[in-house]
Amino acid sequence: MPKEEPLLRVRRLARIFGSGCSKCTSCTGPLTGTNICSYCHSIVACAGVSFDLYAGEILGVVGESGSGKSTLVQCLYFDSPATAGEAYFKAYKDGQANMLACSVQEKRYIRHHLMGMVYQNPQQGLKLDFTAGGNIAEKLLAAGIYHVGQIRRRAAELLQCTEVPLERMDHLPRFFSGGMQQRVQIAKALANNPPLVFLDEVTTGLDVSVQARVLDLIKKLQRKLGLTMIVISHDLGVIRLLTNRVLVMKSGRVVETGLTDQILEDPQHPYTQLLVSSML
Amino acid sequence: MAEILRVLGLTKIFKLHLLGGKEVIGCKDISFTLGTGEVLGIQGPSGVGKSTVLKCIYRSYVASAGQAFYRSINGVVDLLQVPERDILELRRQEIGYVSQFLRVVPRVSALQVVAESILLQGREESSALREAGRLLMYLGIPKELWDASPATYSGGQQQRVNVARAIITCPRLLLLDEPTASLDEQAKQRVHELILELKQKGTAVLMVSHDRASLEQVADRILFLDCVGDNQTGEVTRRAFEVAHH
Ligand SMILES: Nc1ncnc2c1ncn2[C@@H]1O[C@H](COP(=O)(O)OP(=O)(O)OP(=O)(O)O)[C@@H](O)[C@H]1O
Ligand SMILES: [Mg+2]
Ligand SMILES: [Zn+2]
Repeated sequence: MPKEEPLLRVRRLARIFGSGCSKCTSCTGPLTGTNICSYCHSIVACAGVSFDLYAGEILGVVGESGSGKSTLVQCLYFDSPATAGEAYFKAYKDGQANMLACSVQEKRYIRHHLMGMVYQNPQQGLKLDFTAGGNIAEKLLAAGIYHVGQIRRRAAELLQCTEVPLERMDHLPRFFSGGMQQRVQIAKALANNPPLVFLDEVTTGLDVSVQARVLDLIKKLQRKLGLTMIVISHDLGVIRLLTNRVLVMKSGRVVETGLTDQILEDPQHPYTQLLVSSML
Repeated sequence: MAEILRVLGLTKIFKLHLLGGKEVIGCKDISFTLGTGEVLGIQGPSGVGKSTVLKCIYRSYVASAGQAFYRSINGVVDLLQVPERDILELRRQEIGYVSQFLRVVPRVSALQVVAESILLQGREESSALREAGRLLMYLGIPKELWDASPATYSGGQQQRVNVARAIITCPRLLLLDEPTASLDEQAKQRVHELILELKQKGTAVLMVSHDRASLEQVADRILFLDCVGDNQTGEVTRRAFEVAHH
């Protein structure tokens, strides 16, 4: 098989909330079933997370509430500083430098030019009292595009692409339905054609028919644009629909990785077996 | 006829952690070979592990032991060992699979479901949809239904969508699990014709079927999987034996 380098290589990524001590990682994890260090009471949100992601691939992250899924993605998007570990991103210095250790300016550059994020809560990803177009403009401005005409054209194109009626461009997302707010978030995340997109529980809280439409949209965009994505969801239906491979997390650790259909049909780890059987 | 697949000692034991680590045999020590343009039927009683064999080869299941050497476009690989990344690529380009039951994506039309796999191969959209329509038509799915989700289809119609979806890519290796189980005679014939058409083009086919007549029509050889109970120990062992067919 022709060998190709991963778009993203993550190694031993950890995020500890609290002062941390030498026992933090050994006394937390799936074996003890907790992510709270019993010595210093720090929270080991995730630790020892390693994986490769290839261009065009969609990687799912599943696991119970509190298992560290969002933290993992937030570290990679620089919303939250990683405590330890490395991440090599092909789009940044050809994957030769650890992006987690680069300067604040470089991080801002990577985040605005090379990544997109869709948050579970639209309030986190959108300024609800800015117009939909304005929200998209914000991302374009951050990436150094200042030409007003160009910005409006691109915003219109993106809204069309995410099936938001154009006449809503100058309206406030505060008054949009949940599904439409997520579409605007997706449009914003895709604004600069980023090589890597994160989706955190993108359909949680939407009613079922709206969910289906958003998922359908993501799938279409993925095929059309060849997006590379990390998709967090506790909904195995979403995972089955969108992803090729999956990381299963519990108590801040990855307990199993595999092809999506394999994880769902023949889970190996006791925790994954429980997870899958409880969601059938 | 060049050999394309050689399966050696394929074994799958499920470990059920929710049942205290109970072990269940999926299939045991299965060996066979398959050539290009050959159809190997797999027969045997319910629960004997026929689907398991296919799923291990497709990597939906993690095999416990054995090898499955496959001659890909880029050389011979052991399907049970190659990295996930490569399996995804092989599935996209070379290996098709028709599961026993269709798993449908809500809201996506049957036409789109069928076209999906060639779209992923980079086929242009209108030509992909035309090809999908041609297959659905051939398989007797009325045109009025193409825009509906297969979730709304009858069992037999769903199965035809399932077959169309895999066949459309003209794979080098095709794994079929009961492709004709819920079909009426005419639809069954159509599926047989499609299989034989692929065979002509060199596709190697593994076909699990309960339907003796079906296998007689399309299979070159048949692999029987069987359980042999041992009255003394109460243990059940499995064996596989092969019968040349045509
Ligand atoms: N995912 C699974 N987890 C646990 N046990 C399984 C799983 N899949 C199959 N098995 C077990 O493996 C054995 C073989 O099952 P398999 O589905 O391969 O049978 P089959 O020959 O295809 O049956 P049928 O003809 O009824 O479709 C059965 O004992 C079954 O209960
Ligand atoms: Mg079966
Ligand atoms: Zn500690």
